[in-house]
Amino acid sequence: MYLFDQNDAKSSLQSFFSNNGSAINNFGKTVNQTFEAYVFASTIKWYSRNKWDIKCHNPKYGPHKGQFQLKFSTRGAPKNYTFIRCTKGNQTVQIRHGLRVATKFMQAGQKYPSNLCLDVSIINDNDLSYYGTSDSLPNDQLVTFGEAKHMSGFAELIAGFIGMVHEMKPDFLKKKKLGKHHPQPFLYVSGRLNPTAKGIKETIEYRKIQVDIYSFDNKMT
Amino acid sequence: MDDLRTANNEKVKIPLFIQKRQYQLRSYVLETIFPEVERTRKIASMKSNERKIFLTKMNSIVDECTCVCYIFSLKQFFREGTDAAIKAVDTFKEFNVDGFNIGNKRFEGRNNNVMEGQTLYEELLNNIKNAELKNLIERCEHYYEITERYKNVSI
Repeated sequence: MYLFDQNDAKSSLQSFFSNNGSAINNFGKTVNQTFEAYVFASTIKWYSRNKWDIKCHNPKYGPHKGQFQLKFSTRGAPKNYTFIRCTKGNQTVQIRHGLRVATKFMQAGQKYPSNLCLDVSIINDNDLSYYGTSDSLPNDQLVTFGEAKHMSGFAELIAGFIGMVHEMKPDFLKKKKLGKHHPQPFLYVSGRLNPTAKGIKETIEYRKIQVDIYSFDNKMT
Repeated sequence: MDDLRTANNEKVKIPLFIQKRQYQLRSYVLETIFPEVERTRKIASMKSNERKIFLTKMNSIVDECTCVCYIFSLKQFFREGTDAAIKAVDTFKEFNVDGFNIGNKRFEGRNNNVMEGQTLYEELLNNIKNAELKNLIERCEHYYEITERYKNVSI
C-alpha cells in the first residue's frame, strides 16, 4: 500500500459493479449514440452561430412520421430520419446523421460499393426521399463531415480519421484554404487528447491541413 | 483493461464495453511513472536481489495507481455521458426540439436517461469508502494528476 489500500478500492469497484450492473449496461448501450447526438447538435449550433437559418425536417412517412428521429444505425433509408436544412443567402445545405456517402475514389462499375456511413455529413441540398438503405450519396455532393467518438483521443484514432478525410474529402488535406463557410472535416472526441494525440494535432497545424480535432477542452461551439 | 482482482484473488466483473475502453491503462501508467529508458537503465545497474525488490515495488505502485486511474476513468466516462446528453437536449431545445430517442429511450430535459451517467458517478463515489481516495477522484480532471502523485512515492 502506497497512497491507498488497493484491495479496498477493488472491493469498492466490485460492489459498485455488482449493485449497478444493469444500470451500467443500460447506460453503456446508448452512451456512444448520446455523444453522436451531441455532435449533431453542435454542428447545427455552428451553422446557427454563423448566421445560417436553421429548419428542422422530420420524416414525412414511415414509423417516425412527424417525429424528430436521428439515425443511429448504418441501416435505414434517409427519408425515415430527421435532417436539418441550413440556408444563408442563396446557399442551402443539409445536415444529415448517419448518411451513407460514396468515397471520392469510387468508380462506376466497381464490383463492390465504396462508401462510408458518416456520423454527421453536410451535403448540398438534395432530395434523398428515393434513397434506399444501401444507396450512397455521390461524393461531389458532400460538403464536409464530422465523426464522433465517445472516448479520449489517441494518436491512432486521429491518424485513422485523417485516412477517412483522404477517402472522403482529400482536398482538405492540401494546404490550399477552402474557405470558412463550413466547418472543416472534424473528429470530435468526448474526452481529452492524450499526449500522443496532441503530437499528431501539432503536426496537423504545421502541415496546415484543414482538419479539426475537437475534444472535452476544445469544443466546437 | 488488465484483470482487477480483489484480495481474495476474485476477478472484478467489469462490463465488456468498459473493459474495451480501458485497454492498456496499466501500460500507460507504467510508462508514465517509470519510463522505459530510465527503467531499463536503472534495472541494468542493479544487483540481482536489488532488482527483485525494485521490480516488486514498481509493480505494486503501478498496480495501485492503475486501480485509482481506473476509478477516475469511470468518473470521466459517466460524467461525459451525462454532459453530452445535457448539451444535446439543450441544443435541440434551442431549435424547438423537445428531445430525442435512442431506441426506446427518451432523452428530454433532465430526465433519468439524461442524468443516468451522473447518477452512476454518484453511486460510484458512494461505494468508495476511503475519504482521501474519494477526494482525489472528485478533484482530478486529468490522469496525470494521479500519476504525478505516484511519481513521488519513493521506491
